Amino acid sequence: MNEYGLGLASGIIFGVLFLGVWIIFRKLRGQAAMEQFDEKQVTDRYKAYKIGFFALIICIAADAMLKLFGMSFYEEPVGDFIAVFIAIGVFACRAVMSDAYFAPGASMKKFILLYGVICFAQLVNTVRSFSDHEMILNGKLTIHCISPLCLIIFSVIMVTVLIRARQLKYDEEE
Amino acid sequence: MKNLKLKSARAAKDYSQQQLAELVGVSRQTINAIEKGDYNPTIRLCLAICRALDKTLDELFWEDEP
Repeated sequence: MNEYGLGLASGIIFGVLFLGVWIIFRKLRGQAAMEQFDEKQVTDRYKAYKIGFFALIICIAADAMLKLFGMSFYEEPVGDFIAVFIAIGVFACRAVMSDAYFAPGASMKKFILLYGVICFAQLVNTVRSFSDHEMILNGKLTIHCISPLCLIIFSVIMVTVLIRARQLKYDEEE
Repeated sequence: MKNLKLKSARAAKDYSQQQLAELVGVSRQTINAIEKGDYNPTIRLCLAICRALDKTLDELFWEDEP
């Protein structure tokens, strides 16, 4: 395994470990129970999952068509990442706009701040990849364009959350 | 169809949508959607709302004859 693979594997392992510790910590504090989605949100989340799934199917089909006609503009694993990111973005935006992304006890401001930090980190990686001329090789997008893809998706989700937060602020009771 | 009975019962108790939502364990947007007629709650949620507002199911959720 080369250095890149080792770095990727260690990042995934640390991420999973951190997530596991965080989930256990929240369960011990009883916080997870407080942030249950209500019945309307569960229904709307199912609808969002369905739309995200169909978006994934469409992207996979488009990927297959591009390869079939020799018009693929990215290296092999990049197409899969693009499809997954688009599906995640579609799900998240649909869930946010139908108020099913955040549980009743969750704070929108915390998420906006978290996404802002993630976007900033991805922006740094993007600038680094761009300056090292790693993103495009032989006219095709390489694996190093994952950071810009993350940046785009998280930015879109963050903007959607901001738009929805603004709408809710002015959604006065009649 | 808007649920004006629910809205007036909530106002009679001087509850905001957020307060009622916290009492029954849902989001404010869900209460808003029920009042606007955009969402039909389950019987469980209907009962929880009735308990919170000291009303019966008929008083809050029965549709009047046209």
